[in-house]
Amino acid sequence: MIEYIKSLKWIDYFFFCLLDPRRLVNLIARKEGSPLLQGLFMVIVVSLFEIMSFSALGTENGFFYYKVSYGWILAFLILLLNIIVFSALTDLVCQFRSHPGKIMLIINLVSFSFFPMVFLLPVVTIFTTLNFAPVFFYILFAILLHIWQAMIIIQGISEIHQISFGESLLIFLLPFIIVGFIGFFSVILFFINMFGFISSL
Amino acid sequence: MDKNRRIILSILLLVLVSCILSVIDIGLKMKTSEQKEFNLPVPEFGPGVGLVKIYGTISISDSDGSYLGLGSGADGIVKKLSQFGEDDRIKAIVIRINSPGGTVAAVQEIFDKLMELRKRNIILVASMGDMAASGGYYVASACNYIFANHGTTTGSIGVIASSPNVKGLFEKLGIKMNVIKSGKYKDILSSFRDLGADEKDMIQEMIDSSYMKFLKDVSLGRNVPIQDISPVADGRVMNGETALKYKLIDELGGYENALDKAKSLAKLPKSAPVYDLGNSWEQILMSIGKTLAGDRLMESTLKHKNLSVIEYSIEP
Repeated sequence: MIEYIKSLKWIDYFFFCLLDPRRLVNLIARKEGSPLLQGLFMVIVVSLFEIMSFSALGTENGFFYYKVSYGWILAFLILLLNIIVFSALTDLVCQFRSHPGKIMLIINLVSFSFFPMVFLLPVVTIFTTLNFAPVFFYILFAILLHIWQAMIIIQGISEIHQISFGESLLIFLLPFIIVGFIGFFSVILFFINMFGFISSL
Repeated sequence: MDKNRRIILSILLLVLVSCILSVIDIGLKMKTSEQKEFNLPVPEFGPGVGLVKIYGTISISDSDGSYLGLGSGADGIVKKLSQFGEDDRIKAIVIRINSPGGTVAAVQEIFDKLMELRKRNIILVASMGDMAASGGYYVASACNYIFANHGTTTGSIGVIASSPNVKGLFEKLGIKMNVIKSGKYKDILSSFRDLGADEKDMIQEMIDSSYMKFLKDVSLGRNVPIQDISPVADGRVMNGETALKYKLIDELGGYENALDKAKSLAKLPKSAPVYDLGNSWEQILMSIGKTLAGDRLMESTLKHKNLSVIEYSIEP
């Protein structure tokens, strides 16, 4: 393990993640240096950085210590749940489209895709220090980095199943559409029930 | 590849440095906010003054919809008053009134509850807002001390019952009502026919009885003879200054003055806390529910059955 860390080969995951997601997928598939552990480490770092960057936008009180300790664990678990659910839905869509199930590969890919999000904290730090519209730039860069993340996943799925970018984009979007439909109808049904309950009081 | 690895490693180190800088920045800002927290008030406890708000039209209802501008429910107000009455910390209660009055029974229930508290030596101070007329004044008269603003509309001591007469309109339109009733007076105050002389006498008797009760209660609450009140108890409205002249109120002043007076009469320090029970989520939901269905339905049913409500209220 120490030899592996010293060899700096682990950096290849981050390098390919940023610049060549297709090679990242091949690297994950070869399982060099436990990509699952590295991916989990990535999720841990990103959840901590997200809390930090959000906290840096305003003035904090004693609650900050709870946020970076217990809150960070909560954020990590939520992010992990999101990754598992999204990966499961993506793999389900892939299998519906007659592709083989490769959920572990997708979980690793999605975990690594969060890597660009670590750049949000330096951006917030710079704009907070300059006191130049930090909230605006936080939102702007958050959107841009999420787009970058989406591109990593789409290219990764394209490489995993050897499919076109268009089909990969469809597979990426379908889980969101499914969750969107379920969420939309759940909210409507919740409010119908809520108003029914209030009216019957 | 080694060159690329070094570049990425440098980037990761820069990110780490920014993380450390961010922690320092947050820490510095946090110190400032902690200093400010020393100025936060401590939770209030000990003997103090209770606050009850009577806003809007008063009627019998178990929910307090005053925060939604839907009127005050007598049951909700009486419940609040009872809670204050049972609370040993409450030495005085300020009744903040902004109401044009309400139904006879609802107003009388609140009045009776206030008189009960008064007998138990709880100081009651009324503070009138924009309006405390008719039933609003009735309630205020139960208090030991009454404050009104100069521009407060008050007075309107009297009782009113009214129903529209659309008989002429119906005749013009050729509409006839089929009424099957169990007794002669079942559709008294009907909007579809003229009021008979005997019916008018009956309603007048009820009005007079309620009016006399109003006068007696105001006399009791204000501790003045009925003869002193009756000259101005003809339904007239007046502002705070005129009300003071006729001794319907004790002093001109606002809510803050009422609070100070309540504390001074109850021999409490000026720093004594003010307890407001507020509205629980349950009450808010109940109120919304009543608004959506119950109360509105009942109100419209009452009106369509021609059971016109007799009110201590001011007519616009």
